Amino acid sequence: MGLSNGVNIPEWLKKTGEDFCPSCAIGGGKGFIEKNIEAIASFIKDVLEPDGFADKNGLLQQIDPRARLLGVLLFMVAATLLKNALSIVLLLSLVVFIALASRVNIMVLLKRVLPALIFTLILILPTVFNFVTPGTSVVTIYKGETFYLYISKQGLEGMAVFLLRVLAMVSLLTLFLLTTGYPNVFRALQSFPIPKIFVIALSMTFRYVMVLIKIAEDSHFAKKARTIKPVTLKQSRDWLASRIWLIMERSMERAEDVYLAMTARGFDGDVKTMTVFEMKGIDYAWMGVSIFIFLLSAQL
Amino acid sequence: MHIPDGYLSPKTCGVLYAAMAPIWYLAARKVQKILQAKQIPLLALGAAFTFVIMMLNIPIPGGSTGHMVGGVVVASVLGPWAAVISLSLALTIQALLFGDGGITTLGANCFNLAFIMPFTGYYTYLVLSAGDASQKRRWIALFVAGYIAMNMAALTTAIQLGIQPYIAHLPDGRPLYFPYQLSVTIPAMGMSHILFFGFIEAIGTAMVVSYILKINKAILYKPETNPLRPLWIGLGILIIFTPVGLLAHGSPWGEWASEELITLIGYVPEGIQRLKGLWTSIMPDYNLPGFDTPRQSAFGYIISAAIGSGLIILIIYLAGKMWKR
Amino acid sequence: MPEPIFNIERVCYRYGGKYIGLKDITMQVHSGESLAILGANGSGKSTLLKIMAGLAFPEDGSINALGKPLTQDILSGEFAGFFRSKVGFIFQEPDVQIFCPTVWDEIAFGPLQLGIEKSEVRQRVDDTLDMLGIKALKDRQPHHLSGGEKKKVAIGSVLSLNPDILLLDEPTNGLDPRTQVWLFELLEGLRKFKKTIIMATHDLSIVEDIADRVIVLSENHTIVADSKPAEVLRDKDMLLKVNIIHEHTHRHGDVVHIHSHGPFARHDEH
Repeated sequence: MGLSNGVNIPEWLKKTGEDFCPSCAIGGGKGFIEKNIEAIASFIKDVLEPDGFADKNGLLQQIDPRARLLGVLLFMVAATLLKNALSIVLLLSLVVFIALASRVNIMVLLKRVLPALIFTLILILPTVFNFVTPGTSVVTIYKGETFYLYISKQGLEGMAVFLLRVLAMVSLLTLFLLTTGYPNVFRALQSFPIPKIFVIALSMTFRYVMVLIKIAEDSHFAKKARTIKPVTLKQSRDWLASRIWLIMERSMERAEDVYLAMTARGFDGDVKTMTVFEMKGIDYAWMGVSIFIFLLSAQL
Repeated sequence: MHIPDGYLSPKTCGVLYAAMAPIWYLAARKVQKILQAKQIPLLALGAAFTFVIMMLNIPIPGGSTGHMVGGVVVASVLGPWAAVISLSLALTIQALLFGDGGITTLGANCFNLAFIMPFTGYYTYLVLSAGDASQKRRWIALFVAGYIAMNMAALTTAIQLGIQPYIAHLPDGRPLYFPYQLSVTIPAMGMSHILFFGFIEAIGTAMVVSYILKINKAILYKPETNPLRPLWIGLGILIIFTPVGLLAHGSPWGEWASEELITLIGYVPEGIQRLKGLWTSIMPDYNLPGFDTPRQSAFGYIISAAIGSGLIILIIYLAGKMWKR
Repeated sequence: MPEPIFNIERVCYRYGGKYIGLKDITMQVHSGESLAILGANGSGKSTLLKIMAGLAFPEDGSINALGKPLTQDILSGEFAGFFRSKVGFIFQEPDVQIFCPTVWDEIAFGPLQLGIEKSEVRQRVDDTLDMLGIKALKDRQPHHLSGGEKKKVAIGSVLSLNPDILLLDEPTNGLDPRTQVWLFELLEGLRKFKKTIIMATHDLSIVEDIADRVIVLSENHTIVADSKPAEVLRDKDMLLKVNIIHEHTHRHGDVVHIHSHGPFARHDEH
């Protein structure tokens, strides 16, 4: 029955439309395979579609990415220095103003910031009660002979300061990311006083994350396509170990290739880049404002 | 596990950035010596690898899943020094490009996850698998290494968070940054990591590295002649800094007086104090003569800040002109 | 005509919700067909394959497979085991697919899951190794094999389940000519026994060898042709437009001319 070159199709493989497995059923719910596929998909989405405010012709977008990053960092440091709720609210309104002037949708900004905010809120919620922060009672929850539970004014204030600070800082960083494309983030970093080699390694890392994540994604798809029955924990782990090994082997192979390609192009370990620092009027103005805010908050 | 922006006081952030600086420098030197020019792609790919495995869920008994950090896995492949750099790169990408983790707290996060973790894990593994270890002993050694490394990183994180109320508070003692004291942060971080995250890291480390050992040992990092020597130095430092040492000193658990902590980390605020002094000499007392009432002095603050920023911008502008020529 | 095994209607898909991957795809596949999905890189053919395999889900439109609507819900229920054992997917890169310690384990993985008797599993694995001509490799670690050998292991790991439908993504990529010919013969053999074969490829030269129907995807991610291979190959304008063949300038002696070129093209007349 063989074909010309001896491809010998066995009898069982000739049967079509039979041979299914009634006991085969994958339990419902999300296993780690599905979770990982989702995580990878949402990551790829983030990279492909950074909410698209980088191309808008707004305030931040017009500022040189280097000055933009430095300014945002100064604002962030200012936010850590501030000590009372009112001053942080003022800074926050400035952030909102910058966002609006940069044509960033406030709802999008808020959506990005929300997870960090909610996490922080849950984390510090207990501090409003008197057993953590005693003080003047604002809301009495229970008052008994020996047990007194209330929400204290001091606790509320403390929570407000902490939450507002986190909100301001996360918003600032998010605002920078929303208005700056990935290539510009790396361009901005190059003019910072960090070793160039580190910046090159960073952009290389970013590029190869995408390559490796594709391997990870396909591996999960392949596993899913072949899973017809729930597998044991040990099987899952062995599989995952083999995948992580695959990703690692690929990274090592690729590192070797990249090194050879770099050497072939004349790279000897010393980085030479071309960065001409040329600031425009608006860049000076932006830097001026951010330094001003920074100095002001350092005194308050 | 990543400390977000706003949780740590500027002092703490500064101290930990400062602490990482020599570590990064030393790591770069060591790596250059060992890996030569191959280092950049290798470190970058190592970082990319770390980044990807940090995204993956690992199944654990009971049907639940969790993420691993992978610090010990990376250390066993690239060696602990290169792991410092690769992990730092991965954390930086997470923070700077994806807003995951903080920028101001990056020094702290690198200290915990890119320094404490790979080193404790790597050396724990070396000690436990010393000699001619069987496959089973290696597996156990890796498991324990992952477990200890994760818990040590959690401990340093808990300490960084827990000292905030002592070192940064309002005059009436209310905390300005992370509000919980060590008596809360250490047990909380401890519980979650001793019972859950530690196991994920342990299982993850053991399964991945033992798989590598089985398939292709050659890819693993081979230490220089006497890999355990730096361990003793490291252990010495740890003994000095470890809370157990402080406990032995007589303070009750988590109830350290703030003076003690201030003496512990006091040298840096002093440095900042000196910097502050430098600034005051330029702008005496942040204030201008003739502004004495509160409202006037607020106004004075604004004016002095405006003058200060104007001066700095002028310097930048002139420097830019000169560099450009 | 019997009910199609795949019924795809007005399917749209976007990568990351932004970049279009597939646009308004409507097609049917019947049992026993041998179909090539032809398109340039990035035309969405791999995505289409993944949608048919129930690995990706369309944003718009619907897909029915084996008589049921293919949704995320149904594929986390009872139907999943049946569907996955019937539909085999061979990935472009064999490495992502193979994960067992030895070649033998890899091929036995599927049948063991099916709950077949041990002795029969052994028989199946031996048959499969025989058919693929890799018996000598059975105790080797798949990682250390050559690209062609890995591909064979990946194919074996899927065939040992005896799926009725075989989805292949760029099956000839990275194969040496001999292994390619071997693959054509294998697919031809499977076709004789009523297996449905669907493959995505950008390699025009293999289409006539392995398919009796070709669907061409444009770079705009829509279907621009759906017919017999010979007919598709004749339509040079269309193939040029979808970027599967290209025009180039070259010399034959003193004559310089421009003409279209597929990877297979040969020309004797100037």
